[in-house]
Amino acid sequence: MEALVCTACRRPLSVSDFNTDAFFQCPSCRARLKVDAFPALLRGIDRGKSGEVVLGEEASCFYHPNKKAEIACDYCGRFLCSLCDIPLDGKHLCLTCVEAGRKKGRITSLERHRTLYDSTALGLAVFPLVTFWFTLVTAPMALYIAIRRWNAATSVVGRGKGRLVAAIILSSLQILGWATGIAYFVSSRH
Amino acid sequence: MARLTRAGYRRLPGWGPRKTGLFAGVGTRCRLYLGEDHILSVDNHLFFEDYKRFYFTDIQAILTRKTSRWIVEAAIVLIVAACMTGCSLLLLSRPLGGFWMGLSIILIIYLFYHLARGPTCSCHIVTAVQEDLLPTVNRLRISRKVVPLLKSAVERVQGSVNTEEMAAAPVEDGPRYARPGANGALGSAGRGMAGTPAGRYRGGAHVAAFCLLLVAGILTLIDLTARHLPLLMTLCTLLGAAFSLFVIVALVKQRRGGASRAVRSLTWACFALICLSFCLGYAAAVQAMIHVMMLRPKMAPDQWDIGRTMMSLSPRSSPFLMVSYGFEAACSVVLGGLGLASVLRWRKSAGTARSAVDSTGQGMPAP
Repeated sequence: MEALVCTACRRPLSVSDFNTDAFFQCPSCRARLKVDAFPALLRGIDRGKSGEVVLGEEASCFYHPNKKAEIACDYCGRFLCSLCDIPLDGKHLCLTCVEAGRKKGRITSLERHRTLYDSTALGLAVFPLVTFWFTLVTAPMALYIAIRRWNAATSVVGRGKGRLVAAIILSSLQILGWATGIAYFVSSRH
Repeated sequence: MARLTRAGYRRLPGWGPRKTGLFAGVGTRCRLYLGEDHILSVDNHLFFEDYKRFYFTDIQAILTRKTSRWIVEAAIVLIVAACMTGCSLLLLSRPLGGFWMGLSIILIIYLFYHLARGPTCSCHIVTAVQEDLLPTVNRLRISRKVVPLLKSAVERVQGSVNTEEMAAAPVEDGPRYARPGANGALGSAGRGMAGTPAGRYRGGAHVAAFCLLLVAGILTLIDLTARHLPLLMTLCTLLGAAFSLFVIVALVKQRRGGASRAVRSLTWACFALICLSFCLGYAAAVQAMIHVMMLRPKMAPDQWDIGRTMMSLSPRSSPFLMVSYGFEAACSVVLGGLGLASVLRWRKSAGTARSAVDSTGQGMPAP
């Protein structure tokens, strides 16, 4: 078991104080701490499997021809040895499929970053209202983004189309306002 | 039963900014969500989001630590509010009195809100490869709600372990995390190294900043005690601008490694002084504007008029200027002197350690 350290002074903590449901003092810096430890602390990190050597007519791994196939990739169907098998979200994948899934955003659990087009459209429709003149440019931009990215994925936690709808309504009103203003200006000139 | 999001996550109470740099925390709002088999930490940067997942099977421990930020923040707000109330009472008959009173009322409202939120804490999730701060769990009141939820979710997957079982397990020696700085794994200890071999920063920006602060402080003291000269004030302003620039460079440099704890704390104190000076300068500008408007009631003052009036205003012309000049001068001299001494001390110790490393070819010892 690896020792847990105090988050203030980085000195090791005493195991006897863990899981007591009460705050205790760090022996080094006197910081008041509470530690909730779990069985994973005792387990440590599992060593990776190396894969068994193929014997006779046994199927072999697609990536390692001398290793015995253990399982097939759930995406591409290629045979994989225990070294190449990557368990993810209850599925078994090969490295190529994991890489492709990460790049194309097909595997949600590997996503670490996402652009929020709904917030961008709403921001473009709302923030320039402060100066008003910018809305001549930003309102069509907001409308374009809202329509173009209507089906784009929003936050990973999931949220509705409210922001997109609000952006469309606001930007349409701004465009309508500008059109009315320009029409009035032109008609008054003539 | 808590309401789930469309993707099946349960939102946990609390939110907070993730402080990852000098200005990176501005506009970053962090929230926690409980999924089927993991905790999702979402950092919202207004137009994009960053995600971090902690799987229940990997979580080794949750560490909650009480912090003193609650008291420190309350004390600072109280002192500033008291100063502003004092200013408003001194300037009760003038138009600025209302301005200061308004500011102090806002601060007092914030103080009550801050106190009502309760004591502060920091909460970390520990896995085999990282230790990550949960910015959302920044109050004890929130930790009392969130930590039991996380604990029950993790125990549902891993089961539970008692103190006797843990005490029976052999404890490994050596550092917990092999990679330095992996998601803040080393934390303050890692940053506290007196000049790591990777970073050969020798504190030039710190020395320049503290020297400028000391000189500016001495000039302000001369201005305060001897005769007021607009030229001296202009020089002080220019020195202040250069000092602000060097403090920002020093803050960036010290973040990349190097600098002792004392030097880092003093640099941050300098940054706080810059912020405070900016606020006081703004108030002085308002006062100068009123002064110009009183002199020429029919003409609107421009920036040049305000700047010229500010430079020519003697500290003795108003109690507010007297107090703010005195405070700034005292802080500048004390911080500049202390900072310079601590930087020189750090450079000396870092130089000794570096020569030891160069001679032995081993890792750098901690100060």
